Amino acid sequence: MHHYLVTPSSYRYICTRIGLKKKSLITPDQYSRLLNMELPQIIRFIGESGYHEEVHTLSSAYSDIELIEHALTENLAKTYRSILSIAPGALRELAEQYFSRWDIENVMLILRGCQFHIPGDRIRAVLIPAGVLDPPALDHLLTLRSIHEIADHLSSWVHHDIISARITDGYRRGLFASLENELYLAYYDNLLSDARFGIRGGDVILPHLRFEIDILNIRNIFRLRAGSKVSDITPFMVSGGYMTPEDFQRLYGVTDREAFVSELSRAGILTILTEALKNLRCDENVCEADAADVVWRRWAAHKTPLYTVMLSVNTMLLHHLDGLARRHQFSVLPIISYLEHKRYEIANLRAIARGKQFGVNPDFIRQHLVM
Amino acid sequence: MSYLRDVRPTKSELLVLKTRLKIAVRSHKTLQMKLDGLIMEVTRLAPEVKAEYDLLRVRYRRVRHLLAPAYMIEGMLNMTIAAYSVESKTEIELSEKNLFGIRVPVITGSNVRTDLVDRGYGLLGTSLVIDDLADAYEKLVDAIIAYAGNAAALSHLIAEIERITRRVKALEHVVIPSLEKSIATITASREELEREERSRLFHVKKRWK
Repeated sequence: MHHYLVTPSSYRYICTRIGLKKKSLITPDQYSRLLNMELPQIIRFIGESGYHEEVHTLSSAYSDIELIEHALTENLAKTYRSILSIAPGALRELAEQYFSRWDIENVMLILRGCQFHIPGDRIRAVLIPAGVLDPPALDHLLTLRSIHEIADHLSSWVHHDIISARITDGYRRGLFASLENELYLAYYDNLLSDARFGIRGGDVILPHLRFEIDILNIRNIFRLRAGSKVSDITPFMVSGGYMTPEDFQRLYGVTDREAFVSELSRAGILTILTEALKNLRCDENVCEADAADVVWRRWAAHKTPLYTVMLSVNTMLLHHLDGLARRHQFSVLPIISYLEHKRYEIANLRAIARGKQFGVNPDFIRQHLVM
Repeated sequence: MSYLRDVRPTKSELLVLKTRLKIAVRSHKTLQMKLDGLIMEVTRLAPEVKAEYDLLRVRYRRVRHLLAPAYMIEGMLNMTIAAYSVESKTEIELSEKNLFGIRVPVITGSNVRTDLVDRGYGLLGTSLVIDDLADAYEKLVDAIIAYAGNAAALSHLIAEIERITRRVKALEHVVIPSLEKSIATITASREELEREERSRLFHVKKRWK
């Protein structure tokens, strides 16, 4: 593992390296070609691009769609771990914070597997070791027999306190869901505090993070309204966005169209939704009133927003991040931008492969791509 | 083919046959009433089952429609993780009820529809397509349970109707006509014997004179 001093030159070095890596990602033209390929051709394509090592290693164990999924996941984990190995000083800390979402996913999966007696092999098959906890550490956790032992063995993990405090009383129904939510809240909290105070120049990612948090909250408020009867939603809202959890709590009870639209407009969410709808419909004439109408109809009917709209919102967020990264070329932004692009590249390839497996038409698959 | 064979033309046999005819007529009337009742019940239940079947098909199509986007967005791994997270298990209870003397199954489910926050997966680590799919599957299971109970009851009733129809037809076209014919034959035979006896007595009396 390399260790660098956090100097402007080390930033320039890593940002240049990341810039080169970003250039090797799959382009929109290549996605268009992939949309017209069949599964074996897609396997060949990714086998000849940046995924050849994973495809060749796994081709004896898996075939077709499973091979693609496992190769993509393994490549994602490898890419993230390689970024960790080259990130210097405080940047590494920020990267660790950023990647700890995979650790949360893995730890929660292992806890559930242990509690519900799911065989270790089946859990191992769905772990994504893209975080700070490496495969040997995860393997060791899989051998433990109780959730208390797992919590004890995670003593060096950043979220150990939360896990040990919640697991003290043993398992009860709903524990894992609330623990998972708490871990994600802590994840965003740590990420924000690191961006604000932990790393020099980290504040440049704050606008992106705040937008992301707002979008996450607005998505979850729709989900809660559609599928739950809870009245207090603040435990599920992430703080740190432009809108506070209290704002969302107020919005949750809104049944008046004007009040709802003005709240969304005030938070700047309506502008993003309008752009997303414009991209989705390929229609420049879509205005804020149209977006407000679409969102309000779903809200009034207690339905979740259309996932294609949310995917289009993700594209907007990615463009927003790209814009910030271009403005701050030697900051953490190019790194975060690359990581997000990589994540969506994996998601896009998976969407194309799965779409082909289900036999859906290329235009439908294209709606599920974030590029 | 005659229902009864080797009937002896005796008075006791005639009495037995008359009793059997009375029972057969009464049975035919009762079974016919039961058949009417069952047909009315089937007429009431069939549109319900049809509506439930249509709903089941709609919900199944919705699940199939959502399955492809869910796998496209979340992939096999996230779908598996979400599935492993589920804590509430659907329980299906099977009981029986009596309908016109027929025991039909009653299928009910509990924990079918769950609140989003009680499903077991965390809200912040999953996406809304998982919610949509979970919701669609819950609705599908709900429709399957409702359909299964009524469809099983309907098939029991139809089987019973077929059985009773066979009996009613057998009574109507075979048993009762056969008994009536036998009774008629015995009656005729007995009348013939009586006439012979009278004629014989007439000739004996004439010879004595």
